[in-house]
Amino acid sequence: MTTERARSADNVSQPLAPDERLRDSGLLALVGEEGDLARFSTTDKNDAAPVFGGQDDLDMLVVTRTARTLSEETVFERLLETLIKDVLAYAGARYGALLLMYDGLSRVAAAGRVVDGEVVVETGATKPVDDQVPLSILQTVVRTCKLVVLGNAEFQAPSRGGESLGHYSVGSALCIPLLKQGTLIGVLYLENSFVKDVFSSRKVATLEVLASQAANALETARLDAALVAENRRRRDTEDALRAARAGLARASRLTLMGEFAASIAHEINQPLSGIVSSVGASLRWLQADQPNIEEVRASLENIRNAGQRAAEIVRALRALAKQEPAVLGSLDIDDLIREVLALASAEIGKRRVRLIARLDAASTRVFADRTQLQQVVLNLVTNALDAIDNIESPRELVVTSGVRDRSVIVSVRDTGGGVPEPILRRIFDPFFTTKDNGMGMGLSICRSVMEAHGGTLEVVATSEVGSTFMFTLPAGPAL
Amino acid sequence: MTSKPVIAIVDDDQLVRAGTGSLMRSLGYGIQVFSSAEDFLRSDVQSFDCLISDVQMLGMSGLELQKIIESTAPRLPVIFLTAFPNGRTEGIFPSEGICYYLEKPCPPDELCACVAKVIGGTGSAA
Repeated sequence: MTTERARSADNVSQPLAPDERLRDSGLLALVGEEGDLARFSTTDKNDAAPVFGGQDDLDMLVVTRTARTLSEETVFERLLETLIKDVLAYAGARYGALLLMYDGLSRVAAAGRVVDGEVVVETGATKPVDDQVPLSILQTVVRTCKLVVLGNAEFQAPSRGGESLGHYSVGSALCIPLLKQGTLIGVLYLENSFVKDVFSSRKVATLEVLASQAANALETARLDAALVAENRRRRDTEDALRAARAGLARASRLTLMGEFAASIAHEINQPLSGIVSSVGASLRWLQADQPNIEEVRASLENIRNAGQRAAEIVRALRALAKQEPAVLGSLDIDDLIREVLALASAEIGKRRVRLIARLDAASTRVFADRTQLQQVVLNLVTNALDAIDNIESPRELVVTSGVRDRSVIVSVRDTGGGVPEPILRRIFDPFFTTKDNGMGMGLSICRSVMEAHGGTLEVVATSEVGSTFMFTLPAGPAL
Repeated sequence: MTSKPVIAIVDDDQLVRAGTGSLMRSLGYGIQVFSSAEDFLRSDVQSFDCLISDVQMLGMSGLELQKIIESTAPRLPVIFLTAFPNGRTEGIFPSEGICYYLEKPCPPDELCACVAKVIGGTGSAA
């Protein structure tokens, strides 16, 4: 149910127009709303004679205006509402109902009435009852496809909203068939139970024109409604596609798990392989005619190292498995970067690295897990410092942030020796490392963290003069 | 016995190189270790009696290495140690070469037997 300031009833009681028909018609509702109409109404007020001519122009204006409204309205319900309001206002009716034919049966699509100076419209598709439309009149119009006007009708007018008039009332009623190419597509019913002969022949003629326009608009709107249904179907399809894609993402995560498992298998097999062959070698060195104790000792050390390596892998896996679920919050990435740089400042100083920070993303917040994001930034900074380690000069670490295309972008650039192609290909693989003491999990975890945040992590540039790692995050609301 | 056979060992993992190397030396073979396929290819490939190589390595993989050996040293027997043998455990004979895939970690006796077989096959003295 929708309400809108009435265009008619308020003005009806105000002595703006001397012409009773005009007043009754409710047309004054339009006065002041649109300049053209205001001009006409002024003419009407000052000169009683050209009222009819004025009425003609007004009629045409109403037709034009309503037609325009009808063509502009695309949502079916809104169209019905607008139609009812405009017609009530123009016709000076206190009550109106618009019925549409569905497979030969009429249904009340919209009913509007004037309550306390406002037009209240209800839309739906209910079977008509006598309360809404006098069924005898409706049946006549549906059967004959001809309009029915009652100027001085004594008909049963039961309670319509706030207007309880008792059982009988003298007033006007108009019932117009809506025809499109000779086919009945609906019925418009109007009523003013207060006033006799509200629906003059001129008004009826205008309403007939309106009715044919309405019929066209309604047909178009019905097609549009079908389109809306089509759009809904398309949306459903899109939803299904999205679900499929989410499934695919899950599957690729599982694939990633598979790759991860393969990496783990390889990494654990390496020390195991070392242990098994070292044991085999040791046994042979001991079985020799002259047991070679030095070789056995070397093999045992190899076995110890391999055992420790395997234990490290297990520790890393346990740490990974223990990872807390992300706790997302709105945060300022520049603040976070500053915190991390403060944390790393001692190390940066110790390594005699010049830090340049150009942070320009404070205007936009990101939705992220603070701890995880700190880990990512710290990891990138640590990697950059490691890359610079063997470089004489320049020794620079450049951290920037900014906002571009609804993304917050953070880059970490070093003046290290760059990443050679074969390493670049595998740099984000789990357990891949070029460091003597690294587990090869850092960048792999960083990337999965960024992806979990709907972002990315890439090496955007690398050459013999340095590398740039960049991560992106979807931008949150601007501050 | 002219000279002891020399075995090339290629693996990017020092632990594996040390273990396999010690095992081969305990059998009386000479060894030379390489940390990458590229390093191995820079050596005198034809001088080795056998190659024991990892498959999954940084840089050139064992399989790429095998293709190159097929054309440059087709008579060099190759034993691949891999965590993913894909069922290819028995000898594959690319052109005239001999190629074995053994699952990692490989029982020492199995590796030793395989080495003895391929070296014997090339006619070198053991």
